[in-house]
Amino acid sequence: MQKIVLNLMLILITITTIGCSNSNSADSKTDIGSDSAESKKRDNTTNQNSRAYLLRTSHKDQHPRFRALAQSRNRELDAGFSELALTNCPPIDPTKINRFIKGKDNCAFVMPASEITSQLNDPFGVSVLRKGDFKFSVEGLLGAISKANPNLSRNSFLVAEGGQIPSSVTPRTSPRNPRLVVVWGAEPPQILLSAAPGGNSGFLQVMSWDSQNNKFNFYDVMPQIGKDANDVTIAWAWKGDSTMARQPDTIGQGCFDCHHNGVPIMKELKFPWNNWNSERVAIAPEVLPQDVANDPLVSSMAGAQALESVIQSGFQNYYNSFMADNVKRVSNSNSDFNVTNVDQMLAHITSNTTINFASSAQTSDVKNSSLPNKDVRGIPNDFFLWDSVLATLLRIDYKIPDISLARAQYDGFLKEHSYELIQKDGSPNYQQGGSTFFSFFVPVPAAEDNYMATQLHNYRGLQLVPAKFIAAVASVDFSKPVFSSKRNKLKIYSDQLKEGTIRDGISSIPEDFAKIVRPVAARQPACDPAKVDACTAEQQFLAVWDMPEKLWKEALKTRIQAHLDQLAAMPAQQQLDFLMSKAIERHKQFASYPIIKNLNEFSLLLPHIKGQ
Amino acid sequence: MTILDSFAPPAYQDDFINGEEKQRDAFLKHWSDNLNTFVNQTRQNNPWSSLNQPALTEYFNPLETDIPAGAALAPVLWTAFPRRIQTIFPNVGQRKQWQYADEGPPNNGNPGQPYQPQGPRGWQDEYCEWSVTRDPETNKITKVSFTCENREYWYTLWDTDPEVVLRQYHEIVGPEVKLEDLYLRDANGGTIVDPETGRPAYNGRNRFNNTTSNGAVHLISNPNALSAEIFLAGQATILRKNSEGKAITDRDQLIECSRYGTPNRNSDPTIGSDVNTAVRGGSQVSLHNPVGLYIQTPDFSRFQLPFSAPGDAKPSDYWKVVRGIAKSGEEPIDFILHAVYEVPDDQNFTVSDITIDGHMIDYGSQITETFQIGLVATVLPQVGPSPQMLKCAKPSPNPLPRPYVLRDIAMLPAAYRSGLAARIELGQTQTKIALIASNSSRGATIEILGGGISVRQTGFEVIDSDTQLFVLEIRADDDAMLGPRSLLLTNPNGDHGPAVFGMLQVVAKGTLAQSSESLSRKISIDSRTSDSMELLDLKIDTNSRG
Repeated sequence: MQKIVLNLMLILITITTIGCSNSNSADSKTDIGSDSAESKKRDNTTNQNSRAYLLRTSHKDQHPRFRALAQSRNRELDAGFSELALTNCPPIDPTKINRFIKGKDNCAFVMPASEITSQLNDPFGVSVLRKGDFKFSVEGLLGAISKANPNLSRNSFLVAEGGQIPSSVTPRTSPRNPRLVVVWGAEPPQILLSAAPGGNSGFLQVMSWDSQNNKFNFYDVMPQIGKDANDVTIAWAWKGDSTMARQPDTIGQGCFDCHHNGVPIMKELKFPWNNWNSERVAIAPEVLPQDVANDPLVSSMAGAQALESVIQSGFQNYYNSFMADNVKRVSNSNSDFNVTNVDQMLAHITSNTTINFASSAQTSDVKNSSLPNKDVRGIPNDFFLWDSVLATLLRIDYKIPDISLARAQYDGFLKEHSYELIQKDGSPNYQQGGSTFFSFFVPVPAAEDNYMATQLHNYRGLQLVPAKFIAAVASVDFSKPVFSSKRNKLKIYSDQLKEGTIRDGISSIPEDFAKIVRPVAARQPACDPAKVDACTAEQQFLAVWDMPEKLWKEALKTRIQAHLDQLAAMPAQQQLDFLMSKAIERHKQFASYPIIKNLNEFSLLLPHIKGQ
Repeated sequence: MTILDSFAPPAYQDDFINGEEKQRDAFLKHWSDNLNTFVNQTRQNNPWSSLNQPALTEYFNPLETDIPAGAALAPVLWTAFPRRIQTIFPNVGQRKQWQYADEGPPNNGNPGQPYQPQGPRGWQDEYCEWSVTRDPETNKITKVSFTCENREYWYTLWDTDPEVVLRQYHEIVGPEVKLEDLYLRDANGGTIVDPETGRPAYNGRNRFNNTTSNGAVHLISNPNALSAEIFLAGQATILRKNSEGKAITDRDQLIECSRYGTPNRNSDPTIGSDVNTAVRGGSQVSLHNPVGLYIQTPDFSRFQLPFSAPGDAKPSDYWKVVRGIAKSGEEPIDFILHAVYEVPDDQNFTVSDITIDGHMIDYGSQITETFQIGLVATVLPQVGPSPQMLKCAKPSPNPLPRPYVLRDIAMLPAAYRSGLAARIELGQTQTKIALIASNSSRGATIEILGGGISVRQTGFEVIDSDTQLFVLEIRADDDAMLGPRSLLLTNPNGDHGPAVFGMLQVVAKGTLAQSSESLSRKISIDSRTSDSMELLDLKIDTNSRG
């Protein structure tokens, strides 16, 4: 049995993931990332210069040090110190595939053969774990996966919230939260590994696509405390699959505390990919610890623009399979379909199932700008409203003002509010004045929700709901594209719809939804049609849905444009104050919103603002 | 250890057929000579008009440098969608950005001047240009044609044999293309004859290659030049420091500091940054043979076919590599030069009925968001001490006379676009050769180094404050040395910079199809087309920022 001895109170911990995962501290490390049993038995107290103990996000809350940290950051903690504190559970077996699905399992246990056969049919499960090839280091795992899958291409990517903090602010050895994503295969990606760069991190998280069951399987190396706190056993465990991400008993737990839809995620999915090494801005090797800079996975890393495609491909593949499973042609008919799990589909437009972040392409610190005195332009359209759906998908032709925040005023706002990036997650702590590298870094509707909106509108030429229906939903509280409690109320109704039909191209789903909403709205106090934005969610929905087909788009455009024009007409300073305050408010909502707040993993992700 | 014999054409493309062996050999020689000139001129950098732009030490010429077996190859990849559209028009929305990339933004005083040519092709500046074919009745897309082929190749091919060029147009565009459609013409529509070949010169911006709706054969947007790609890769090998002495690593700041390429594109900053990072890490760099720009296979997993597609059809079925090859085995990237995405007429759907990221393909640019353009760099360990970091480049207070272009005056438009050097046969005299220069003055002396070449000035004109035109008569002795020759320009006060490598190629008798100087000149100095001024734009885009 492979065991590792750790002094949990002395180790330094940092964190990362493919969205949620590990991280790295470079100065004091414990070598647990070796496949050699001998090397795993090491007293960390005598090895202050060895490798850092690296914890995955879903583990870190169980650690005393991180529990306090997480509580201070208002993370959603699941019940108990489940994994590390499972002292009443039988020992896990490092020579077997274990199972531990938070929310379902109280203890880890060796997976029955029948369950392995039925559930673990992804390339990682089949070609590595089911072969009994258990590796506990990055290097070992890279070799095992590549050897077992020689036909799968491999690419690595790097993210680090501190990746643009220069060594003049803090030495390269200071923690900057670098994490690697390694991807095998494409179209769609087959195996994704999240790990810390720079050597043998022992904390490994893997997702792998199971094409038999049309789901991603989640795995990681899990630790279990033995007879005392210094005696920890590690073993590979299956942590669940995509289908469990939204189930009541597992939602927000384990791997799904960040993978809210059970698919690959990349918070900063779109250009300019703040925090990622990309074609827009590189993470210079000079700001990384020497061993990280020398890591072959770092020196050969690809740009985030390629990972964006990988992630899109990964979650689209899952949803395409989901749609294929749930939109079934009625036998002997070309135009009739039955639809199941309608509630899961509609949840993507009636709520934020998760979020992404977007930003301006203009750097926040003018010193990092290619041109001097560059004003801040390019506030993300999805900050103002759900533009990805309303304009890109539904083609509502309003015009978002091309707002330019004067450099002096923008800088003045940051100074007045004492914006700082503060590293609190590792040692040494440090801070840098100013905001995120790219300006106006804000939460926006998730790529998964955007994609499912397109599928509802046009699934391979089939319309599950018409454009007007999506517009009617998205128009509710439209100036709050994320974290709208008013629009989220519609989920009460969409959750009631389990099945639908499409007959001769006409879907039952919109009217089924409206039938539930209409009596509720009828019982509410009447609202002023001229002030729709002040109406209830139900009333706002019906205000668009009940419009004639020829009129709704222009009417909604007029309503949206009036709002945007009001914003555009503000005096410059007032406009800047309003927008910056709104961004701060979104940050606070992100950091406190149930489950979604788990994505707030690192103190360097968002600027700290005086008084907030 | 291997020294490269010659530069190969991009993707080892062979456009010749049986019976054209002589043309093939001539073409390959000419192509390699062109590349060698580009590389050596790049290595000279810009000591003429810029401070802190010395000759390069970390960009090597593979024709002169031993490359060990197994030398590291580093792919450099960037998104094909024009980033400038997104940065200049950040709030118009994604749908409008797609439209602008296909059709060009509206010309209403928008910021960000388009490159030449005016119109959408000038905006397609990521070394990828495309043309969209639509059904005239439904306006749905039936075909999108993508190219990343450098124009220098096509000018060289034309110099070798116009019929071979025409054959490729027939395959890429269709049989309706006629040879005369491809002729370079003056402002009055007259054919411009290339005195070197005695044949009409090639117009890369002909009507089958100058729009986004009528064909895209090779790159025409000014910055999309192969010579520019090599030049910026070369300049990026210089390590830079800021005023505090700290290394500059940000890609856009590197561009501004080194004054190569254009910020806010995907391509230039990526090429420059990747090269600079490699040099900071202790490497010498050169672009890998075959030097070129290559389309990468789209990520078809983001495509979705309609129910009306055949049950066994896949989105990738409609992608066809027309020129170049997709990678196989250990090759680091695809070497695709030209590809089309097209649904055949006999299918019950069109390209527009396919979705990408859930959105119907209404614009060809949507496809460019799913693939990258790439090149490969060869990376060798640095020899000797690590290079010193230099301060940012800036204009020299005492600029030296710098020759830019040497070519028959009638051929200036083609010279600017092709970047090709003038050629002269042994024993030949060429008159009305234009030398475009900067920081020079009347009475300057012009020498072709290496002996056996005499130069006589017959005219001089100041074009603008930065540009001068010398008109020359050049004669090559019968026994002059063959090969590239450098040109030294010295002002009357004795000021001069280094001689510019390879501005003239001396070739053997019989190399050029037509060497008579009795050919009638279709234009004079005073009847230059507007394109000749456009060459100056190109020069600024690609070469003269330093």
